[in-house]
Amino acid sequence: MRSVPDPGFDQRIADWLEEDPDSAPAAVLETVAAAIPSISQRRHWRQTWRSHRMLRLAVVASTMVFIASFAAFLFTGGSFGPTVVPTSPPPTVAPSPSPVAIATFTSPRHGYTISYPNDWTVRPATAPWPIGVQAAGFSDPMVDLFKDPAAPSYDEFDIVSQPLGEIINPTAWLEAYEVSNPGMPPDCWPAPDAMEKITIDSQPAYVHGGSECGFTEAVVFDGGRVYEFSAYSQPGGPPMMSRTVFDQLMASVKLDPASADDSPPAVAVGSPAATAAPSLVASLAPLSIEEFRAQRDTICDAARAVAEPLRTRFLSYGESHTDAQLSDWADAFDQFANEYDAMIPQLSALKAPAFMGSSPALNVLDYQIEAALIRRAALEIRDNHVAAAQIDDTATNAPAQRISSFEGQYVLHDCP
Amino acid sequence: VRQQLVERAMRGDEEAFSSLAADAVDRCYSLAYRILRDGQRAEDATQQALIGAWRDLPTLKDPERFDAWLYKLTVNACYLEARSHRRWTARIRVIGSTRTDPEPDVARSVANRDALEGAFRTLSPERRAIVVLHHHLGFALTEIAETLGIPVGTARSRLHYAVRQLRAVLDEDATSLVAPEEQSA
Repeated sequence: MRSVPDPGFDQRIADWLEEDPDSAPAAVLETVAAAIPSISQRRHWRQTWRSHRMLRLAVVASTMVFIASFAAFLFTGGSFGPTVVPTSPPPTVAPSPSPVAIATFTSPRHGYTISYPNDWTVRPATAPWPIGVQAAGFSDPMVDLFKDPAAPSYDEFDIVSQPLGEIINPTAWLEAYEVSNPGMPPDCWPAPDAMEKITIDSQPAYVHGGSECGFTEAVVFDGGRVYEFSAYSQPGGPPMMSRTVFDQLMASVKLDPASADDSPPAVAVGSPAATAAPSLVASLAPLSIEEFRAQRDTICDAARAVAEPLRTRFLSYGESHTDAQLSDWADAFDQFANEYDAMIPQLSALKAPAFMGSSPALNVLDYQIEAALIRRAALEIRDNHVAAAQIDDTATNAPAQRISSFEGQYVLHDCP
Repeated sequence: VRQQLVERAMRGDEEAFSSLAADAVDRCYSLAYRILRDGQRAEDATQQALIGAWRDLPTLKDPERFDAWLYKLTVNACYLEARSHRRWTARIRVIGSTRTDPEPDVARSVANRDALEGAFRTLSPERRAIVVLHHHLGFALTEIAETLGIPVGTARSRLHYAVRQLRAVLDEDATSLVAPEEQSA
């Protein structure tokens, strides 16, 4: 049914639209094809529910060996290997032939300590998990990332935490979190009351997922903070670890919410941001909205005055350029990112009105994301990987859009 | 075969996804161009939609709905692209046109087309999308509602107001649509 009964006008619109191009330039598909290998598919609770029985059976033996070994080290405080565990009944699985020691990781960002096999690698988080932002996956700096070098590259164990916002009731928090992702299979993320309950460091924890979901995740609340412990594996593939090993990892966790650090990422020593003296310092009390506007506008106006002229040195991705042009282009990007680095601490120092909630912090985080992408684009341009730089450039659209929304919502001047 | 490709891609098969992307890229670009009215931005939106499709494929509940789902991703990418200030690269982009200049003897047609172009650009991204889905792709309101994830009533009223806005803008500019020979007569 047409809402406007005017076939003549409808046809005129259709004819006009028909004149537009129907074929994408080849570069579009080439860019996508180049990007795909470096982009992980989203996993988490959105995994499709799959059962690959044969694959799982194929890894049972090695998993069982690992279970026995890991259980041994956790219960004995010693190392993996031919240690005899003095339990009854005796273990029925052969111990691992090669000893594997344990290591302990204390997260400076998320506030906990955990024991893990010391042949795993750990990449500590470098950014906080802000309230209202979904927990991230592989490439996100918000997670403490544990990898088993012997496991498939897809597998990883992530730990992330954040302060509780307005929702301090665990069940309400879980329900709100679930609602934020309606695509999750109910079997993998049931209602909070139906989730399995365990304890982590004496705190009640909620477990969901399972081998068929491609993840196992425990959520625990302590000291006004929520923690997520998530073991991921390739959809349809063998699990990264058995439930027994997952439980042993959880048994080693010590929560210390008071030591968590939710501040924005530190600026590297020697960087422009570290050496720049903020022109405006934080006041002790939150600013009024008028004061916040005035101070932020001053910061942004000054930054824009420096950054805007750099744009004239930005070149087009679709053309050929000499090495000298590429070098100057990359320099301009770097200088632009440096200006962000100088601006970010000043924005962070502003004590925003309380009613703005976490929005100002998220705004700063978006600038940090943009700065990182711009700086990476500069590196790629210097390496003559212009297509890769364009992908990073395009990736700035999302944070840029959020920044624009923030500025529009609170009637703020545009920052560069 | 297509559903198998989707299912393989959902399990992380890059080759399968490349086949799907190659098949879909023109459709996505065609839709994005018509909404955004700019080749470079349409390229960006298409890339974002396809990359987003790869990233989020494991969340797709029904592989048979892949095409509709990809349309939705493309429209959403257009919304994002249209609203982004393109803060730090906007000024380097040269907005090109894929069309050739019109012949002198089709001045009226060109004037009409340009007027429609100008009127269309006054529409919000949401209204542009619904006009394109309905008048170019031929989607029924129920299909539009399903694709965009909005109630049918919303789709109907959005299309109604979009077309009404187009007509209003064109009516305002009616004098400029008069061909030169008519103006001098």
